Amino acid sequence: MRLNEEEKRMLAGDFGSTVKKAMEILVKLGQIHNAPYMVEITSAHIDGNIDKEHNEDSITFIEQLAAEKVKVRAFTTLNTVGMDREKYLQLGFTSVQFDNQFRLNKAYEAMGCLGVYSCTPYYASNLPRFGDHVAWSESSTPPFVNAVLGARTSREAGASALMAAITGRTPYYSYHVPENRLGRVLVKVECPMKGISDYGLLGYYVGKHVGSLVPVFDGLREPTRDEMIYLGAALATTGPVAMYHIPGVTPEAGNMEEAFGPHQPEAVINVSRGNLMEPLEYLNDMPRGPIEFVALGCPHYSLSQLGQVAELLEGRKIHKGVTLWVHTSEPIRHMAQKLGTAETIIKAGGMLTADMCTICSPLEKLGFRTMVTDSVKHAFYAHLFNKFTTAVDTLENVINIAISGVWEGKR
Amino acid sequence: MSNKVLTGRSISPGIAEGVAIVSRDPIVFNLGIDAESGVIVEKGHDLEGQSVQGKILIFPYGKGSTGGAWTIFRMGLRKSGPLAMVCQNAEVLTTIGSILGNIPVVDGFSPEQLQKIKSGVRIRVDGAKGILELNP
Repeated sequence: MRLNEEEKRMLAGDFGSTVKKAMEILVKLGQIHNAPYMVEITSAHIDGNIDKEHNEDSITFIEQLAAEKVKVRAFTTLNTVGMDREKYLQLGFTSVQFDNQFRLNKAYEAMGCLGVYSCTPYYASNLPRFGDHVAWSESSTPPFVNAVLGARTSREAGASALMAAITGRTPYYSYHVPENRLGRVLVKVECPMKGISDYGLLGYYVGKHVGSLVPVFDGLREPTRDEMIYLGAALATTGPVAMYHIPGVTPEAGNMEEAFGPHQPEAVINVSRGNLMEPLEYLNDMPRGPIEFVALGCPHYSLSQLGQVAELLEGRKIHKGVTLWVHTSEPIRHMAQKLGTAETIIKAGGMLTADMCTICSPLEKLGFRTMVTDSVKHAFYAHLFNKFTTAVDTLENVINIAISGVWEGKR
Repeated sequence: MSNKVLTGRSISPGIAEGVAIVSRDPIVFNLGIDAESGVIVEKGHDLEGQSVQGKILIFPYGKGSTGGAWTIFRMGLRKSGPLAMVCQNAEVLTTIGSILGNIPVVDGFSPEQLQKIKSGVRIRVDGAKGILELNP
């Protein structure tokens, strides 16, 4: 691998042992993927900062980096954590020790990482420019960065994003290379699409069938930014997808020809309404009847999505005994408080949380076993991590279910 | 048995010698292995209930949550895991965990090459050179 003078000095240990180790790891990753050289990154987003994923040794390691005054060289934000830093007691986590989470937060922040604690950090100051090289982890973010913004990231792991942040470099491979960003599979959507839950279902179905190839969507009419975020999150839930094109919508594909470049589609996936509903056979396995827990905002809701929730809840009350959490980031919650959006949600009996990822929180302490949500990603991981049964429906229906307190069964 | 040298690719430097334990299944390092004892705890795994501690772990590749890098790191630090690892392709979590945890790793071997290695055989791994030696 070709390294410039500064990178050689990092590898030689001129910037300390941590930078040396980080560069060793990046060189190794580069060699594994036949990267010819490193590129400078303009930003990083680090996940894997949740206490549950760590152990005493790895937390001590992160703390040592902070103690050695290691600083990130790129603008770096932090992903969600396992609780709401401000309101975790109000959420019911009264018997949980979050000492390790606070230790991790403190250490990462001491290295210069910005604690936005969100899986949608682009709503909170980390917004790459078209063509920027960045190193972003949290699987829902690469499809947004690559497809929607036209910036360039590989599917980073939390630890590799940390190494990239420390050195300000990432190997030139994966989606940093224009050739790898071209479309490979044509996806023909043959049914009308509306709302983030439909786009989630589409991503879930296509992610399962497209492998690691870049899908190109035909038949989608002007999806909103929120819908594209939920499409990408679902694509990256069932498949290792980090890039897609919607000709005429996403910035690197003005039309079909640009999306595929010199290639012909290797496969065509036709998607009918029936195909879209397939994942619900698995995800809508909650017993019908009274519900206990409703969670929205996976990925973290935007201010406009919070506005939709408030509109649906205006003047209404969620059913007694039902817990409703709406997840977003601290900066967006702050704005929602200013706008009165938060108040409407709280008046209706809901909670507006910041920082947290529900499924990575100690939900078992609250005794929940089921979850109603508008996100297929949320439902998928609630099965995997929390052993929950779930129901997925449109936002409108989820709110109605929260108000009636009853789920009537499969969609 | 005769001595045999296989050349792969260097992932994490260091030299280790010990007895092989061969996993046919990929390994979920995050929650699939107990970092204290080195015992594989993933249900249905072909090594379920067996410890990889103090052995040379041969496996196809790591899978699942990238938090697994921190499990490998912990095993390396505490010397509670394998002495070295050999795999088909080291993905991100195996690469980072082993370099940070100072566990020698070589990869780049075909499934056929790895299938010929039986649990219990003596192996020497040179992580920097990317080679493994059978019956050294």
